[in-house]
Amino acid sequence: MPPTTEIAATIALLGNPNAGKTTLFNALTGGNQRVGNYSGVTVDVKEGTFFTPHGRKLRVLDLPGCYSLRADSPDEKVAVDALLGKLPGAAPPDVVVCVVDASHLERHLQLALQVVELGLPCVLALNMVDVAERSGLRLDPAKLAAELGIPVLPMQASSGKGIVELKQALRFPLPHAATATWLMPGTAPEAARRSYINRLCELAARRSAVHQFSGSDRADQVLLHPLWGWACLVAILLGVFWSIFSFAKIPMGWIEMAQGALGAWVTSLLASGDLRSLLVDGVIGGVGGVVMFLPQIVLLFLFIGLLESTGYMARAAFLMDAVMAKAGLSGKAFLPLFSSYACAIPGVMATRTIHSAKERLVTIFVAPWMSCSARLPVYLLIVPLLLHENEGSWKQALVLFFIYALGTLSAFAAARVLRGRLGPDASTGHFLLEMPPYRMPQWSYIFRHVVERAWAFVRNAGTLILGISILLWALSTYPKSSGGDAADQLAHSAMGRVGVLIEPLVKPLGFDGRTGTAVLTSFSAREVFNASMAILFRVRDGGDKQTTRGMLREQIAAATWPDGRPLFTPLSLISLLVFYIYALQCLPTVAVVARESASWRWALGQFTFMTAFAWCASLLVYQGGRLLGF
Amino acid sequence: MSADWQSLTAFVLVLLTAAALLRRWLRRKRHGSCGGGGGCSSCGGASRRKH
Repeated sequence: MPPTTEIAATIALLGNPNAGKTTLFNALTGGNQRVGNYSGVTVDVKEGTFFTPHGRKLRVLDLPGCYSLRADSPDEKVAVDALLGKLPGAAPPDVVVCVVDASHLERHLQLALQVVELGLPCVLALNMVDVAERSGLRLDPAKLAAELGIPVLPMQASSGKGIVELKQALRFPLPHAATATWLMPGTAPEAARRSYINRLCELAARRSAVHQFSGSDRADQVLLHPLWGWACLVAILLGVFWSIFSFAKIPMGWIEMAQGALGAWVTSLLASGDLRSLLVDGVIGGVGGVVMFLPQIVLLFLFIGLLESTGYMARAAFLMDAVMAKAGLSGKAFLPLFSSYACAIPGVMATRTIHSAKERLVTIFVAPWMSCSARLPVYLLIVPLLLHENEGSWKQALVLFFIYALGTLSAFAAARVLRGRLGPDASTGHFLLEMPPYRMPQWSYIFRHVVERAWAFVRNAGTLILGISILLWALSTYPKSSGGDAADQLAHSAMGRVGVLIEPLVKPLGFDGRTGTAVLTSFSAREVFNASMAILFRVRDGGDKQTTRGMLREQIAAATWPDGRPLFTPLSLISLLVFYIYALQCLPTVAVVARESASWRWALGQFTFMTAFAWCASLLVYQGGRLLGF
Repeated sequence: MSADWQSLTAFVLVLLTAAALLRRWLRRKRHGSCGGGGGCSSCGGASRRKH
């Protein structure tokens, strides 16, 4: 039969969190949805299509993970609504593929039985059979299928094993709904399911008598140890930050060389004038000030991907649970907060896994204080200035670690205060943390994910940052003065005048008008700070002597107040760092917070609070430091 | 003369950039917070969803 382009049926992937639904979805559709070896990664319905071996095109829905069909949290409600066809414009799926982790069959089968009870046609995807067999479980899928009355397919979605068989099972006519034989009149459904699952497991999933002590168990003895576990967590994070500074040096050098060569080429091509200034100072200097940090961004996402893929993230959540409890948050808030290290937007969306509405609001509120990757270029510009050290040193990694720790601890402190003010919940939720076994990283997924993020960074630099850099150049050039040097020209320009206006507000923080203007422009996107600094501190003739970054740092280090005092002292640099740790300079985050909290008041209140807090914290650092004689 | 030509070209480029940024902003305003793809400077579409 020739392939048809019409959708023949809709398949829904349902299962407990971390059962491997998204891995299966990616394997079926060839997609690249985010996966991780821990629970709660998917919080929304993802849609894709694939062809069966018979040429039929099927739509596949990847639903958020849920433990039951009770729908306690927003993400579980999304899954149940999709299953029942309650989502706007969506019919119920024709077949539900229940994805179960074969090594935790007893627990995962609970959900599959509930789907059968609903009268929906069901296929059981017995995922991670390799892990189950290594743990000593002897599976009999044929017996399981005969007992349940539905197709049961052993598979290993991460390596693509069993995918063809699953596609074969979805041939037409599609599987019929089975009968829930375990439901007896006068018996509670939960009890009936439990006793039926116990019988099923005795028949088709027998454990060997001797408990096998797995490699994961041995690793967890160290990594979850109350003392050594924390030491390992700190060491891993320090290693990540050190690598970000060290390993990126060589590719950064290439980018700088290319940038310098480009600047030199444009300079040699054009006579001195506005167009040359626009291209060299505005475009190459501005965009270059951001693009040069691409290697660090790539490394950050590579390490995040590794930690997620190996299963270490669930261990970090376990270690952090006690700290989070002190902040009035449950372990469910860990993943949203951790996601915010990459970007606050998916972090805020990930709060849908949180059952308690109040805890969800608090997590949304504090998530932007987890330092996101857009802040990294700013930190990486300032930290080396602060230390006057060669790049790659442990001191720089330590400062970066403290920056992240300060943001995180402040978020916890704010959460504690807010939880206290919002009062206790009407119903207490439960937090179940599943400890997945350690797995080898899924390199193909990590690679694709890193490339996707790197491309997004470059695309952003080539569009938004480029546009803003050109506008900033215009604001620092027009209106033109009739004569005078570059400093007079800047003072006469629109940006110079904004700087004069803004200076009284930022001077108490240790910044001059130019720095204040750069901070102001970065409310459009944090990375714009680097572009603004490059334009405002006029990195001229970048290709002639040294590279732009070196020039920019030198220009910043050499900048002075009108009376000749150095503009950037260690104290004012720390004040600047503190401002960037706390300020919410991301308008898309404000919009997403408004949508997720269903309240513009909450979003604007968060923006106002964080901006005011950042200003006060910087003021405290700078003025306090001066009083202490720094 | 060369400088005048450069000034004019630079000015036109600035105007075109301003128009492009305004168009982008209006499109995003119409489509909602994420603009139909990658509203955040870093997430690169992690917030993408249908409108």
